Amino acid sequence: MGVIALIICVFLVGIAYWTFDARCVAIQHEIGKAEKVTRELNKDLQRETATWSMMTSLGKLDERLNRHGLEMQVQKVEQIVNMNRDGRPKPNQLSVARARNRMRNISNVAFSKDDVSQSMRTMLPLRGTKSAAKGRAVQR
Amino acid sequence: MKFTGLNDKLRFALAPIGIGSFALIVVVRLVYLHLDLVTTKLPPPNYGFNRVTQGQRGSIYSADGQTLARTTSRWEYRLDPRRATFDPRHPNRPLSSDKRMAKIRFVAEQLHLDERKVMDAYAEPKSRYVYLTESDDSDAHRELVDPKRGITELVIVDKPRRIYPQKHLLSQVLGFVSRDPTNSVGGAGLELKYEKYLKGTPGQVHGTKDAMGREDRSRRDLDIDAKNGCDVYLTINSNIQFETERILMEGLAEHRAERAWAIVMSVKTGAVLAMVTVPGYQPETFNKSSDDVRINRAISEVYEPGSVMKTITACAVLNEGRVGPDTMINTAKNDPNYYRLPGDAGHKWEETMSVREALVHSSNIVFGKLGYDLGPTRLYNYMQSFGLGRKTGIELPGEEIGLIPAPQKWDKVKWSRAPIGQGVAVTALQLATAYACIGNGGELLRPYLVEKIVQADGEVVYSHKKEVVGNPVRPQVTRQVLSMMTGVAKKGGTAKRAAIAGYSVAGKTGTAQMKEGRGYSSTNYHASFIGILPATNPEIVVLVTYQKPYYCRSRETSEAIGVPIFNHQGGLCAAPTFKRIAEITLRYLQIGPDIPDEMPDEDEDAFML
Repeated sequence: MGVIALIICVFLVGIAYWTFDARCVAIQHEIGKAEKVTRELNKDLQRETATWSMMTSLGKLDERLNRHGLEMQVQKVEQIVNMNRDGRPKPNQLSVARARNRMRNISNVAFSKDDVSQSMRTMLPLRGTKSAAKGRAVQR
Repeated sequence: MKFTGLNDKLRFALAPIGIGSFALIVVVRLVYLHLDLVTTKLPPPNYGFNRVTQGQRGSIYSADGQTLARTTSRWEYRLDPRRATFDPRHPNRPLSSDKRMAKIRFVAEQLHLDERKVMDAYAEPKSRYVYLTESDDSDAHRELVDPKRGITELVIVDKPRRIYPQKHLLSQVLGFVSRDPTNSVGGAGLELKYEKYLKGTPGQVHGTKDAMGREDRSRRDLDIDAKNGCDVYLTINSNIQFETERILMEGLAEHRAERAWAIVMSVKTGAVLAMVTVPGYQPETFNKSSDDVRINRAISEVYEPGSVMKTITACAVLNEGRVGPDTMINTAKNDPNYYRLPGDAGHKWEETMSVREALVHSSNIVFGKLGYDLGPTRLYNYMQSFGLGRKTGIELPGEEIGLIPAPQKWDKVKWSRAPIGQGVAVTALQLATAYACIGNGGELLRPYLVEKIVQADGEVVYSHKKEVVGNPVRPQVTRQVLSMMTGVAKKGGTAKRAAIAGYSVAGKTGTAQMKEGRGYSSTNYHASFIGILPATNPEIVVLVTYQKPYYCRSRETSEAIGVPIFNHQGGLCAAPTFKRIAEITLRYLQIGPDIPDEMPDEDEDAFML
């Protein structure tokens, strides 16, 4: 009986070994596949990032804009108005100073002093407002 | 059947013992194998393998996030024509000409190649590896390796490659790497300087394979992951760099100069925002460019600065307290108290001139006298304390020291020549750093390009900290000199063309003859302009130098070739370029005007109400 039990034990050990070994081999293959996929995805990521970097490079963007006849330039400082939250321009701006100067010149031609001081308060009349319309009319 | 030997009982006993013994041997052997108790070398060495994996080289980024250098991989496609002679599904059957042509068309289409070229490659009788092309098109690659297509004759090699997406931008600063795809090493610039950070750490796998060539992962006894290199973040603003390069290239053509270089630097921190040398080159194809264009002239060209040195002389004499900005100096050239003073090229001054006026008009006589009175040792010490004649310490290889001889070697002629920038030679970066020192109230800062270095896992391994090298002059002196310099870009100064609407510009022109043999050339010049702005609260310093601008002294020549008369002068050549670069830099850095009420000229496209 002891011998039979031993044989059965050995058989069971063999079966268990075979099962675990087969499972290990399967996991190895899965790991191998996953490693390969990871490597390929990393490479793809590298390539795509590189392609994106090249597509968005300054020279490329400039070249494409030029190809479509868009010769864009950085705006000049006198073309920029930085505004506060309340809609008023921030102090010490060239555009504002020029606007003020223009308003002063215009006032000498057509406006009364009250109109000018009103314009100066609003500083930058929006397009379509009464003072802007007046300004355009005078400029013409 | 009757047994004559051992009786049945004994046989029944021996059989299980035999089987049991066999099973025991198997079990013991398994235990030995699995617990690695075997003393003999198993498996045989040819089943072992040692695979070294390379970590990816780190990237280089600009301050505004643009990628300046990156490592990627691309596929190299080669062809083995012999494999294309048989049908892959039926190895004994030759490939029909229709199928062959279909394959050729498909490969040519996917790789964007000429059909004729692919056909020639397929027809190559001897070679087994015919080079086709390189590509990084993932979609095409997937199609080509698809087993259903059966294109088994393509040999595909995955090659790492260093790319510079911005092409020639910042090329001399970035440098390049060797063209060996598996082991690229930095060859110049930042790629060389930061090799140990950029280069990844290689990984290693040591394991065994079975007879079928499959790896037994349970037997990996060494598995070290490769580590990618660190990423380097620069202080360079790619927009400012790009625009500066473009403006300088246009200027190079306009003034017919041989070379030009420019530096834009933050006055308060010493951060280099742009460093340009034109003409440049493309780092990816560095082997096709000449050595000449690969030199970073901003740090490696040692040249006589000319009148831009007068600002340093002015700082020195004011700091010594010998004169003030409004002290009047005699403008006579033939003064018996001085030995062979330099001339002022036909200018007729009043009998006396203040130091301020002398700087604005760039008088050689007055500054020759001031430097002569100061003495060579003191002047030399001031030059040294402003960082001239010694390395600035920027993180770039190949920086030159400059050439400022010891005062004992100065003859009496040099006593009055060194103060006006003759007989001493410096680099552009040294000058920009010295001017930044004047702009920030007297702190000489170490200029820097690298803001931080970050590991692949996000850990910061280096971060720049402001480094004050010295304090050559008192803050009060720098304020006086700045105020004097503002006259240069105004009416009556030598660089009216450097004036920027709304901003006060403190600058100085320089027109220096180039050395030729034992003397000086009469036609080859370095035309420079260095400006600090806004002068009331300095933020940036911009240096522009043209080497050998076209020398034009007659109206006829000027009209014929389209360059201005006196094109070689700093005020006509470098100052307008300075203006354009400075305007764009101010815009990008959102530095507001400091004198908005002063409007030199109104442009047509100015803001309209």
